[in-house]
Amino acid sequence: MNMLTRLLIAGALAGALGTSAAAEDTIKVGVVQPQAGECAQWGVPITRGVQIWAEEFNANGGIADATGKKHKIEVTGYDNNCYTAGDELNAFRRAILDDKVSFILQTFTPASRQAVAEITTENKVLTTSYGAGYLGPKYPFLIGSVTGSPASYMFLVSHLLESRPEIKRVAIVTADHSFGQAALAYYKAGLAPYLDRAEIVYSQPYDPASTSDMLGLATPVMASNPDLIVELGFTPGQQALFVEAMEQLGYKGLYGSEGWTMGLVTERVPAAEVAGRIFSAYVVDASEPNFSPRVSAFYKTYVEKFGEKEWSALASVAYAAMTTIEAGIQKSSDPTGAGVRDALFASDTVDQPLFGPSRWGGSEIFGANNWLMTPLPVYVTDDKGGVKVTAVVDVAAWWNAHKDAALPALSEGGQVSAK
Amino acid sequence: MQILLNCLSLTSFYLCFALGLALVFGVMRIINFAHGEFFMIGAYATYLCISTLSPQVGGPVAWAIGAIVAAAVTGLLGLVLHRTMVVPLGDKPLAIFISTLALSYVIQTIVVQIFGPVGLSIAPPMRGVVNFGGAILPASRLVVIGVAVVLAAGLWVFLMRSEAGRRIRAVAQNPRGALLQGIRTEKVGRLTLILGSSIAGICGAAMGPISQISPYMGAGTLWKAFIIIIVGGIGNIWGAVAAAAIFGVLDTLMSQFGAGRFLALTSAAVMLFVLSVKPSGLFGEKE
Repeated sequence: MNMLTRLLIAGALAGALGTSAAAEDTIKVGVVQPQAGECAQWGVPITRGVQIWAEEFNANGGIADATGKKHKIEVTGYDNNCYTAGDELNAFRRAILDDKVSFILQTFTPASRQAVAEITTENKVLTTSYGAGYLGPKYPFLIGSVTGSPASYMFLVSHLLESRPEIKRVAIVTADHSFGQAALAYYKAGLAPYLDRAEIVYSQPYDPASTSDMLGLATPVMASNPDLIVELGFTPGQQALFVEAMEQLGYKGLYGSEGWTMGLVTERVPAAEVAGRIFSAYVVDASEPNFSPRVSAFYKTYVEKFGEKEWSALASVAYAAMTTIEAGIQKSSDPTGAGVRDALFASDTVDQPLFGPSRWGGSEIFGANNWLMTPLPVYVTDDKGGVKVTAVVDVAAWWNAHKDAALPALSEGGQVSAK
Repeated sequence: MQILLNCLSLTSFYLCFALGLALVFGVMRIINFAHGEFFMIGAYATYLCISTLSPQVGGPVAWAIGAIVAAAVTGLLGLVLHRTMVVPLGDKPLAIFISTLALSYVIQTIVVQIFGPVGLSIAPPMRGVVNFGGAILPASRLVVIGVAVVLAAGLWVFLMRSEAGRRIRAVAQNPRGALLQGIRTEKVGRLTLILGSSIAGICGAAMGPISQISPYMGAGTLWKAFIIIIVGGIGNIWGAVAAAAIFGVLDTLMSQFGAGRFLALTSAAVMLFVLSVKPSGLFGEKE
């Protein structure tokens, strides 16, 4: 063997070992969301949120585990064809079996989570969401890492009822699909403690295909004469069209939803007209500068990269959900799905990087405490089309006080899986 | 009264979109699956015109320019489609159907690359509402109703009163007979495709401001248009008008009375029922 051959073999071996070491050091994260099609307006910002979260660490050499060893984070987006359960499973197969990811962020949509519950558990891939859906004792690797959908709907509507005693009539406008049905049940659960002084005047689900005629959809809602309308299921642009149609019909009450893309709303309705009337309760909305300096910095990065018109609070929701995983990686000496899960569930509470100490909960609904009950900021619009925090709901305290009233409504809506 | 206005508004939506599709299918007996994307291109062309010209010339003028640009761009696309797919594939309707399906994906992907996958909003060029006996109709919806009426009436006049229209009708009724009478069917096909595509573009311009525009908006609308032209009688423009009215009223009433979740199911059921009792559609003629 001549010198050149030996050098080539040595180089090849070194290269192979180097690649192997780099692969071991890399933490692979999958984001299963719509990457194309109508629903990409949700999925793309969510994927970007996770990518920016990873880039923040990668810029400093990676995320350090409990031993101080740094790991680069590799994020890959997988398409689930607008939250179709079968495509969700196909995406998980590609992510887990082909690409060997250790962590996945997915929708909270119960049907989609149900589809992947087995594969995540069998392969010990820690699968989180920006909320809690289809959790259970059989699926320890399926978790909800923040208070988001659909539980946030319950806390939002209850906060509005509690803080605004003048609300007597509530219309619930939800789409007739899996997460619309979950939203309907959670909205009803949030209203349950106040049904002695408020009533649900509209709760007919709509066919998502009918959103092309927003005036037709808004007319019966207006006819029910509500003081508060809570919705879930519209795309950001459809939300703006709905608000426009309601305003044209003469509605003067309040609106609530998981979140609003105010840039689209104020293109149609002057910001001053809806100031103080549109409420949201995303996990966190980074466009609001005061809640957390870290998410505020995230917002600036996002806008620099993609432009203000591309902003969606869903990006910060995904970012926030990943910070719980981040806390687990930093507490674990084995940053695999199983190692990080063990670290996160080592105690009843997690010192969540954005929200502070938060308790695991959910056993009354899901039969397992796999949902991290982070405090929930509630936002209201201002007269410039921005948002400000109007309250922070202590989720754990609310649940302890009102779960007896809320649980029957959740059960009736098919959301309780605890035996 | 509000329900009546909603029926009128929805009927005009359906009619506006289905007209071009009915014309193309009626004359050429081909299914242009990219019709929805031509509609989408019309909406994006209007978006560009309004966002760039509106500060200088005002919303209504910018919208009118947008509608003209939309018609021109989609008419040109129709011409390209005719030259590159319809003529070379000749009398192979299945091959044309598949190639227009492919074209629809190509157009979607190009628009995603240029504008991104996230939907955009066209600021309404005309704001405010018009009151009718206690009910309201937004000005932007009046525009859609006006556009639908002008398109339907204009198409009727064109088909019934012009020489080109007579040739189109002749080809629609009997292509072989028209050929034997010296009508250049290829030329008629080109004109029809340009006309049908331009109508799709104008509808995109009209409906863009009252719906969110996205690269996928055409595909979502196309299925309803197919149901309308099938129920009305494939290729029969007046059948399409009648079917648009039937679904406009039916869908509005269902949404109004709490059955909105069954719209897709009902539309499909109505189509199947009509096909089972009158396979050529309500106003279609037996082949």
